[in-house]
Amino acid sequence: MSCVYKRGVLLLVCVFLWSDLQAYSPHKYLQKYCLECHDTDTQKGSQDLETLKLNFDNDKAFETWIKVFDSVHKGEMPPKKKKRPDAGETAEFKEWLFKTLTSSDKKRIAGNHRSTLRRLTATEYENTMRDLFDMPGLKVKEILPADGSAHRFDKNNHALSISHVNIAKFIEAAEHTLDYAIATRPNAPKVNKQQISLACRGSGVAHIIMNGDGIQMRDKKIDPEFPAAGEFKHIDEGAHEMMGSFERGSTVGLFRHEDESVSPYFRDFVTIYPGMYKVRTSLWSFQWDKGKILPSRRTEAGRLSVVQLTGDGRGGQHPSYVLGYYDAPSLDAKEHEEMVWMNRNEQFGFNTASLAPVANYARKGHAMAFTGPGIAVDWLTVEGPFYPSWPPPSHKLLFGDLPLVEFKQKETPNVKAPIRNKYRQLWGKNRKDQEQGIWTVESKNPMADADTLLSKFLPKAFRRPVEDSVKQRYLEIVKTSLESGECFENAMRLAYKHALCSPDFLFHVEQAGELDDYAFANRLSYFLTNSSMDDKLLSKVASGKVHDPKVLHSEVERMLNSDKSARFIKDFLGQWLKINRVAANDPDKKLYPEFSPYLQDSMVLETESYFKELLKRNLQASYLVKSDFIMINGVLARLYGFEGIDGPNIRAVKLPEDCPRGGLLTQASVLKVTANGTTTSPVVRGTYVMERIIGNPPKPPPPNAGSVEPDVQGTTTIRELLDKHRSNPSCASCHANIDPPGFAMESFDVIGGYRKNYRTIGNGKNPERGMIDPFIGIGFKIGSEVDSSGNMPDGKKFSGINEFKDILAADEKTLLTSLANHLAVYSTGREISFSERTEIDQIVYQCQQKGGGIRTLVHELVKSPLFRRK
Amino acid sequence: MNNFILILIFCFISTGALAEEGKIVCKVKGLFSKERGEDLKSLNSKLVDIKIENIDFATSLVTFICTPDSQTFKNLKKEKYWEQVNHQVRNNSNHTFQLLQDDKSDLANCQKIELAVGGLDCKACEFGAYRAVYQMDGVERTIVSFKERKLTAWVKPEKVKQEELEKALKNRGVTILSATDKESKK
Repeated sequence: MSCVYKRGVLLLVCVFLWSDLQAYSPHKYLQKYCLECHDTDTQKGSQDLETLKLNFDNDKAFETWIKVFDSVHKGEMPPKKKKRPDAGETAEFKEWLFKTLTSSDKKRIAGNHRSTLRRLTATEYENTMRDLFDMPGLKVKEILPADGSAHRFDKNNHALSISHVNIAKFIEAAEHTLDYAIATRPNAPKVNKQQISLACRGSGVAHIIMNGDGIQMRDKKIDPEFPAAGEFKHIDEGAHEMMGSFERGSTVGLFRHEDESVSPYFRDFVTIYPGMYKVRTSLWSFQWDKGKILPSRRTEAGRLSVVQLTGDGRGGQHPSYVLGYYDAPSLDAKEHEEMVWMNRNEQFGFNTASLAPVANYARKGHAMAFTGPGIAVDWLTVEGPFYPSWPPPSHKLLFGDLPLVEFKQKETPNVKAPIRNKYRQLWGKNRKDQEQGIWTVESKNPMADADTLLSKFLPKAFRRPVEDSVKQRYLEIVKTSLESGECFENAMRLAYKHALCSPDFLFHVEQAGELDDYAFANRLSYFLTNSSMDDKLLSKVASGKVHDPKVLHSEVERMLNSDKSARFIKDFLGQWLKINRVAANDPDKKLYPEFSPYLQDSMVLETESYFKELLKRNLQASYLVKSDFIMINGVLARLYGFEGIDGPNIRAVKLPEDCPRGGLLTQASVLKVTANGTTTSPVVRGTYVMERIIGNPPKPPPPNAGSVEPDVQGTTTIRELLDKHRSNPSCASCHANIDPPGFAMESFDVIGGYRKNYRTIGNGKNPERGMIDPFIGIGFKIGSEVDSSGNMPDGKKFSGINEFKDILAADEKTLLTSLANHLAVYSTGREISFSERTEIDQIVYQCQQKGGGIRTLVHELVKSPLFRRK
Repeated sequence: MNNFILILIFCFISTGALAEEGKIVCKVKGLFSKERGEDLKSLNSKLVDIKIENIDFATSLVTFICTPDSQTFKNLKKEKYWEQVNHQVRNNSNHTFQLLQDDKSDLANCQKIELAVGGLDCKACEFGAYRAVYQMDGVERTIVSFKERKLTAWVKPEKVKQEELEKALKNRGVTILSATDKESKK
């Protein structure tokens, strides 16, 4: 067929389609079924369809037409009580509107591309720096301004602004990274091993044990030199410090955990040299009974954290980040070991995570009048720093194998000395190695070396091949710097700093249309590891094989199986399910005294472990809402009412029949982020489920809608308040969709505990003993009964959470589509437009054809045209 | 043989002279219990070119022997010996002992006050109580034993009253026991 003939046929088809579209007028349908409520005079729900123009180039009109389509498509409009439209007429209207919206949307996208230029998020930036320089715990995210969020994700280009503040902070972060990366001495710092007692001088723990909130022990007995505080407590902490009471290397047993005024630190060590450190600790638990050390009730949990000290010398107060929770078995010390990256001026903190909030300092008789659990810390050893080689890989990336030599200013008076920022050691008894003078890289042929080094560095940093003209720009920086008298290290450092602050590094560079291999692999890598591509993926790209379906499949599998996939899981779940906001509010201490930071951290771990398990086992989307197993540890087991599960390690537990748990909706993390710390609202939880799980966000409330505030006194139930609210017909239509998921979740309180009755600070029955940890005082009452039944908009009834989950789980396509949408927005950095809905449908269809597993969904997404174009 | 005897006599005299030359006898602050005397003695292993020869707990007088021809003392004038000894004693005891120069206190002219005190049976707590009163002007000597529930202070009556001692102790967290308390707790 000749080309002219083909074009002719195409033109005819287009003319036919165009004339077909033009022939149909939607106004007849609107007039018949919509304008009674949505005419210019009535404008119910603030929608005026009478004046709505057929101008699809207008953004507002385009959005309104999408709302019209969605309302009719989902059967929400016309409302049930109105006359049913003719099925044929509705189909015709929908078909016309769908085709018109799709073609208009494609036209819009073709002009603008679906994603615009996106910069790295703060998390992506930190991960990229860590991987590029092989410094796995480098902290730079805190330097950068917090990112915004659009369509629930910070990766969305609408959320990623750039201003002079961002640039200033990127420069600071680059400087900081280069400071850490460049070797400034001929040999690695000496590996030092230090054993530290928690009761070291000035640790804060001294104060605790002086006052009876802890004890010092030797061989699992009270230290004879340091009796437990009883009728009298120890006096004069300074005198005890001078007498060496806290430098005896004793085991410390604590009854009190960290709070606003107590933060136990291992103060004798503070990082001088950033690097990898081996940290070991020995923990055990016991039951303290007024002076006796007895076997403990169960394996308790101790928390190790890393505290970043601040320059004002006051310490970091609460931990900067948690290293982990560790078993403390009854009377039998267990040693734990971790290899961790430590930044400058960081030290270790400890918390008796699983203990109830107890304070003996004001108790008559102090420790000798107390009976309760305690956690003992025998010691903590820190050994390091360890480097895989010297100079470390970070230095080699910047300076290859150029030799390190001593810089002697007298011998080179016209050359400026290398930059050496001074760092003040805050606290700690460890001391830095003897000064060795100023050492720096030496280049006999600076410009040739700069060319070689930049040729290797720039493609790695920019995540794609770099043209000579780009490299020349950086060589010019080196040349100018050398000419101004800077030493080779300074000149190269300046060029590297420019590179790390350039758009080539800070932005995801993607060309219009179909992504090239590098941009595609870059998107894939930032999706599944939240960082730049590793050498293996890079080699696949360089060999042009990354699009090969088998290669792509194996690369996705490799990334999902790697440790780095934890970054994807954390970042994606954190935003999709909002669990990165789990600490946004502290539950009311009177209503929920059993809440603790340990419980909160475990909540997040549960959700992350659960999603990891779904991915690993490639389980269906129904598992998002309903499951026969959960992933819990000891503290979650107690919250959920399971017996025989101890310790901080998360493990899979099979659920008994009719258990209300299983699936995301009944996980404590989700239940906490959908509550305000005091009360729960079916509206908030219902909206959450519709937006994030079902993928059908409710319309925003009209401006005069008001809000429904739960009654904490417990005199009126939330259901009664909502019934009143729904008596307004304009509220009723939306709440018919929003409220049912919220009603079903009413069986769970603000920290994720199952409840049959509300807790109240007003009138009510006294709770039963043993309802929570017996060492925690109860100040709440048991209020009115919870009603978690409801009716779905389609008329289906449910009596509680399990029946509600059954209804949701039966519609796997909806759940899979919602997840596909969220994954697509997260991975491509742009919301799904109208015309792309069919592409999502196609991804979901392909996934369902292959069993409907969540891992399969990831594979189908990255194979889709949606993922492969800008 | 005679020469040998003469040499021996010379050595004996010169050693004695040197020992006399390096001898420092002075009161030491921080000796609030007999056990603390043992703590002070244990410093012998840490002191350089200094030896603790005798501790008189009743008077707090301690005899130190410095080695004048040692590295530490050979370039020091005798009047500077005291400073060197005090420096070493203070640093090696984490400042819990200190030499008192020119202490002219005479316990015979002091009033002895005995207080019944309650506190932990812990040496550092005793040190805390000791610190509370010893730094008061007019307190010449203090001994503390929480085991015996007793604090004894020798004070210049014109300068310090019992109530002032009790107040200082209470401020430090020490419980002052009444006689009945003391008996009942025995």
